[in-house]
Parts: sequence; structure tokens; C-alpha cells
Amino acid sequence: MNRISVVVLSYNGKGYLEDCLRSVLAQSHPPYQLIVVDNASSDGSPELVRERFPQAELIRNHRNLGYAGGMNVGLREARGELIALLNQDTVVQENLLAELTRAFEMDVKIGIAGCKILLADGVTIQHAGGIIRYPQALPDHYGYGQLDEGQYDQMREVDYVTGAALAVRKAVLKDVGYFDEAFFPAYYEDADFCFRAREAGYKIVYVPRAVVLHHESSTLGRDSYNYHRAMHRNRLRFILKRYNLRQLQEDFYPAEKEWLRAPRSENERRGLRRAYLETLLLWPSMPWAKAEKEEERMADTDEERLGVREILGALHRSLLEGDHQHGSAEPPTLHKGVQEAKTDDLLQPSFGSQLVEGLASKWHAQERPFVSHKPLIGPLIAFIREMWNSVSTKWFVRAILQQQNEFNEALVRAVSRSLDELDIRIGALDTRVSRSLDELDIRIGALDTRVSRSLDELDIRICDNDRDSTALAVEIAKVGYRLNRIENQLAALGERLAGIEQALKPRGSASNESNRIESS
Amino acid sequence: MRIAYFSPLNPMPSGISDYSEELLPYLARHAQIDLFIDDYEPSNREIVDSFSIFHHQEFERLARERRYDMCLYQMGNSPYHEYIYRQSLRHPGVTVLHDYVLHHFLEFITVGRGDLIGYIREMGYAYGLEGTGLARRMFAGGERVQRYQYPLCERVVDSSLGLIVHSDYVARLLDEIRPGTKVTKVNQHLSLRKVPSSATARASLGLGGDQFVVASFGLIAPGKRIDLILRAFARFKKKHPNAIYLLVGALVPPYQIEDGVHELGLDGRVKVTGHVDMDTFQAYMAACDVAINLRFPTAGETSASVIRLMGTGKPVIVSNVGWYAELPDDCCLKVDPAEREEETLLAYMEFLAANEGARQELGTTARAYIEKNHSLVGSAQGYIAFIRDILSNLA
Repeated sequence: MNRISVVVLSYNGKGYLEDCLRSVLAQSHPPYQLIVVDNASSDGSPELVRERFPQAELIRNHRNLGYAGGMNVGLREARGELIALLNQDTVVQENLLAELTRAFEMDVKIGIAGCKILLADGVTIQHAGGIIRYPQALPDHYGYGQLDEGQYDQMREVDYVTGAALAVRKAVLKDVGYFDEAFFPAYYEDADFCFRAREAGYKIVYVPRAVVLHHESSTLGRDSYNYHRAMHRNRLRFILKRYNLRQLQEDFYPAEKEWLRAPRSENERRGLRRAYLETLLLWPSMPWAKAEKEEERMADTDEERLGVREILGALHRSLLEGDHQHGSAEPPTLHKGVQEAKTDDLLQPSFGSQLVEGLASKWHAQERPFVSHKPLIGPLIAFIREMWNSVSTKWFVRAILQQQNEFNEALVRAVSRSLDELDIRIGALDTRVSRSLDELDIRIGALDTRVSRSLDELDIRICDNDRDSTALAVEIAKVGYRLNRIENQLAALGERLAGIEQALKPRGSASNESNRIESS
Repeated sequence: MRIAYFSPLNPMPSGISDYSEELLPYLARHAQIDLFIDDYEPSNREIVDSFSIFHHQEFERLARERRYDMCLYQMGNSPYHEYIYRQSLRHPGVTVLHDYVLHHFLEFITVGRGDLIGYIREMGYAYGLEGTGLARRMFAGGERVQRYQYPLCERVVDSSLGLIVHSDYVARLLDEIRPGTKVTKVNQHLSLRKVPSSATARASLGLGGDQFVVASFGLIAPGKRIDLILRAFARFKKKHPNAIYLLVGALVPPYQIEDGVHELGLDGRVKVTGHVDMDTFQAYMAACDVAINLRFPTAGETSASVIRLMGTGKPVIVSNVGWYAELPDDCCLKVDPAEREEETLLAYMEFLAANEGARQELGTTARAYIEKNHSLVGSAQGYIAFIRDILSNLA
């Protein structure tokens, strides 16, 4: 029977690690070797392993090497013919190792075997084998979210199996190598590993009897900027490692472009933008894996460089434009050079993206063939120069060229890291500004309501006041008219009295005169 | 009785200037009247010689000396009534409401002068928070306030001891918005100078004796249904090639009809006279065969032109709304401003063009009605009786 080593990768997951290790040690088919690789946890996970699981071989990395780097450390230490790889947040059923071992022994062509992974509730499927959908290489898990009712209980070949819980035949490592550590910190390293193994002639199978419970405690939040950035950057890496230029242009680009039009979270948009940029920047330095068919693998030619740069640049710009225009940007024409700069400042590529595009197009220095345009003897001159170069200066120049390229690459990586930091800071600032704006909005809303109410109250008071004033003016007018009338009547009376007095005056004088006569 | 009388006078280009100058001599038979005007020199010598005329700012001083029995305000929709409006709020009296809808006027003296708060306040006074909300939303770029739906006459009504109107229609509207308000109807009087004969008028105006003359009178604005009349006339002209259509009055900018006239193929068959003096105005009335004075929507106004036309004995076609609807059916023809308005108008035109007898009968009945019910003597008596009634109720 094949011996099986188990490698558990640990990173700040102390809360899960103990259950995981206990389940491994409780196997019906005990592991030949239990390796815990700690990716520089700071939560006391290594101490827990050392104290409670002395039988485990603990390897402490001095820094977080990510999934691929961490697992590779364990793979190199594993001595079994089979090696099971487990995430720290898994709990395995007691027959897991037995079932995996049986599967490998059934068929020597099986290189990698994956498990049925259920969510912590024990009934919901998270993984029953994986598929990578062409041409965008978007991953999917069979059965994801479905209740486990036996519908995925047949062992079968699949595109890939998730690295959360898989087993690999050690011979595969000799044939195809280890995980590609450039898939840092995680995502697609498992798919890439499986694809390489299949390209080397191995079968990738899903083993339904090997059951694992998974808490899915991703160290990167599922809709975080960092998750999307890592996921998509690695997806692009996976694609560039496998597709030739024609596939990229004719299949991948149109599908990706269309896919970008769909609404998605701000974090995913930002993550995607960053992924395009980083890939644009670093893809020339990618170590080439074996392509499925040698003739389909991309050669390292200027045309291909230009083509890939155009595609990535166009996708990046399209996303930028989409952010400003809600996805209404016209598709750029491939192979016709970078699109003319748009007049709208908002649509200009950012300084960072311009810088990165510029660097990506120029940092990789190459030797150039000698050319002479002299008629007839031109090729001869070029040949002589080429020969002279190869015997006198070529080796000297190559060393300088390599040194320069290394320096350039280091510089580009430094720029990239700075952009990273800038991105994080901008993200933090963005969050703060966004929160402040939200608060401001709420305050303005409250103030608006108060002002509105106050205005209404003021309006009501003014209206009431105006109406009262009008009513008062009418009453005053009435009194005024009455007074006028009375005064006019009084005046008329006065005139009448004066008339009466005037009329009485002569009679009064005559009467007095007669009185005087009578008295005399 | 002493009356302080506030009204625009000529040369102010308002129908109410003419109205007042015609009425005043008749009112003066019953009361002592002082006139209060704005910043201009009155042009009517008879009025200047017969009445004491003061600037409205002198009112306070004179009111103390002369102790007026009543202030009388002629309130209309034109800007010449601004001082009258403000004075009527300070010294309430009897208001003659020539227009029920004063929105245009109030919008002009507030928004038109940059006083947005003033407009909001007017809307608030009349319609409370609904009004202030509508005004604020309009200023924030929202919908324009519907002037005919919100007439803005409420403050004037509240500030009046009594209201004189020219139609039962407006009296009903006032009763709806301010029940119990003291309102009386005094018919708008007929005022005619010496009217020439049709032949004389046509000769003086350069119109042929064989032409069939259709005419509309007064200011030319969209509410006068001119577009509709033009369409009907274009159809009418096909059967009556000798017909012409005259628009006697001035166009109210920015309204223009040139394009419509051209599109309907009426070039040379439609004439706009622009503003003309009263003698020419009446000459056109005398010269026309059929008058069409439509109005929709109505601001509750009374048409002096229609009264003059009927008093001249001309057949008139009017809209069947507001005051116009109150005219007796045997004195004029009425068109509902409804779906088949154009067809009805055309049918009336055809009928009148084909029946000279009907035209004469309609004109004669109209003149008899107007002479009986729209006399200046009757108007003056109506005013005085109403003012006396108001005064008797003050005690």
C-alpha cells in the first residue's frame, strides 16, 4: 500500500487548526507523515502545534509564502508516495486517506485526486470537482451550493480539483514540478498544477468517497479588493501561460470585453483594474510552463509582446472608461496600436497605468540582429558584423544585457510595489472620504428636513400674519369710514346749527329791542 | 358722497382707462369724485377739466382733509394696476374685479422684478403650504405654477369691503373661494362713439364692397384661439374666395402668426392692423360682416370689444365659457372649446355667410340686448347702490 504524507498549511488559523489536525490523526488509514507548514502565523498557531501535536513535523516559514510557496515547502519534505494537501480550516472524515489511497491504487495514471468538499453544515456541496471555462478561464465547482443527495457520487475525471483538499502522486512532482509560486498568495495554482499534470499525461480525478468539511475561512474576504486583485491576476497568468496570441485575440478578448460590461462591485472593478495593470507589467518575465501543444504556445516575439500588451491595455482602459461611462466605451481595435488618446480628461489613462504600460513595453532589453541597407553587399556586411559580434563582444554584452534586465525587472517590481501601497492608501482614503460623504449626506439630509420644517413653520406664520394684517386693515378701514361718516354728519350738523343760529339772530335782536322799550 | 377713485386713465394703454373715462361722468352725477393715478399726465381733456386728479402718494394727506366715504379700486391684470393693488391692501374699499385671474399681474410685480420671496408670500397667502411649495419647486427648476388653477385674487378679495364684477360666472367663482364675500354684478357698459355706416367704413379702410370681411378684435394672444380661427378660415375661404380675415389689434409678443398664415396658404387674405385708435377700431367693427372673438381659457374677464360689436349690431361668434356663456343665445353664436371646435366655427361662418338675413337679425337682437342691459346710466347706478349698501352695513 502506498504511504501517504499529509501536509497542512497554516496561517493565522489557530481556531480551526486543532480540529483539522485531530481529524487527520484519527484516520482509519493513518498518515505516514504529518507535516504542518506555518506561513509565519502571528496568532500562536505554531505553538499550538508544537504543544498539542508533537507527532507533527512543524515547518515555520519566516514569511508568508502564500499557498503555492507554503505547500511546496511541505511537498519537498514529504516522503510518502502519495501526498495529501489540506487547508487548515478543513475537517476530514476518518476514511479520507484510505479512500484517496484506494483511488490512486486503482489507476496508476491518476496523478491528482480531489475530494468531495462540504460546507460546515455537512450537507451543502462546496466542491465536487472543478471546471475552468474557456476562453476566460473562469473557475467553477461542480455542485456548488447544492444539497448533497448523491448526485455527485461517481468518481470521474475533471478539469482540476481545488487545493483546499487534494492528493498528488509524488511522481507528478518529478514530471511537472511543484506549484507555480508566482500564483501568490493564492488562486489558480491548483488549476495550473492540475493542467500541467494532465498535459504530462496524468489523470485528474474527483473522489466522492473522500469527504472533507470546509469552513472556507479565506484569509482574503470574498468581495475584498485584495481577493479580486489576486484572483484575477492569477487568472490572467493562467491564461497567458496557456493561450497563444490567436486564442487571446479571437476568443479571450471579445468574451472578456463583454463580461466586463456586467455590473460588479467597486472592489471587483478596482481589483480587476489592478490585475490587468500588474499582468501588463510583469508578463514578459513569466516562466513558461509546458503548453498543451508546443506549436500553440506563444513564442517570445515582438508581435506577441505587442499583441498581449494591446489586449491587456485595452481591457484595462475599457474598465477605466466603463467606470466613467458605465461600460459604453467603444472597443479598441487590436493590432492597430494603442488607441488615440481621448480628449476627455476623465478617460485618460491614469499616470500609474501610463507609467506601468510604458515600463512594460520597454524594460525588457533584447539583442537585435545586425542589419545593413547597402545594396547587394548589405547581407554580407550584416553577417560579418554578426560573426564579429559573436566572437568578440557577444558574451560580454549578454552579461551586461542580463544585468540590465535584472535591474530593470527589480525596478519595475519596485514601482509595482509602490503602486500597490499607493493603491492601498488611496483605497483607505477612498473609504474615509466615502464615509465622510455618507455622514455629510446624512447631516445634510437632517438639516434639510429641519430647514424644510422651519420654512414651513415660517410660511404658516407669515401667511397667518398676512391674513391677520389684511383682516385688521379691513377693520381699520371700516372704522375709518365710520368715523368719516360721523365727522361728515357732525360737520353737516354744525353747518345746520350755524344756519339755525344765523336764522335766529335777527329775531333775537328785535325781541331784545322791544324788551328795552317795554321796560322804559 | 365722496369717493376716492383709483384707476388707470388714458394714455395708459389699458381697456380700463377707457372704461373709467366713460363711466366717470355718470358716476359724478351721484358723488364727488377725486381721481388717483400713477406717474403720468392724463390725456383726456374732458376728464382733466371735470375732475380733481392727484398722484396716489397724496392720498394719505387728502384722506385726512376730505374724509372720503369710500375708496373705489379698478383692478385688472396689467402692470398699470400695481399702485392700485398696493393701495387697496393699505386702505380697503370697494374693488371692481375686471379679471378673476390676477396671477399674471402678481407674477409680474414680484418675479418680474426679482422679488421671488414676494411671489412665494403671495402663493402662501392664497394657498398656504401648497402654494409656497409650488412656488419654491418652480424656482428650483420644477413645473411652472398653473396660473388659471391658482388665480391669486384671494388677497385682493380679502382686502375689499365689497367687490363689483361683470359676470355671474366670476361672482360664482368668488363665492366658491371666499363664501360670504359681498359681491355684486354690474354689467360692463356699452360705449360707442359715432359709428359710420358699413359702406363708409369700408371706403375709408380701403376694403372692397364685395369682400366678405371676417374680423377679430382686441389684443392678439394665444388665448384668443387665433390659430384655430385661421384653420377654420382657410377652409372657409375655399368656398368664399372673396373672404378676408382681419385681426384688429396688436400682437402680444412673442406670439406671432405669420408662419401659420403662410402654411395655410392665406398670404394676402389675412391682415393684422396692429394697435389702432378707437375711431378706426369702430370703423373696422362697422366694416366687418362677421366678428369672431373666442377666448379659452378664460381669466374671468368681460370683453369690451364683444359688447361694442354687439352694440354696433354685428353678428358675433364667441366661446361658450365664462362671461360669454351668460350672453343670451339669440344675441350671438357660441362655440364650445371642445373636440369639434373648428368644425362648429366653420359651420357658423358658413351659415352666416350664406344668410344675410340671419346676420341682420342676430345683430339687431344683440344691439337691443346691449342697449337695455349695458347702459352707462345703469352701471353708475349699480356702483352707487352697492357702495351705499356697503356703507349702510358699516354702521
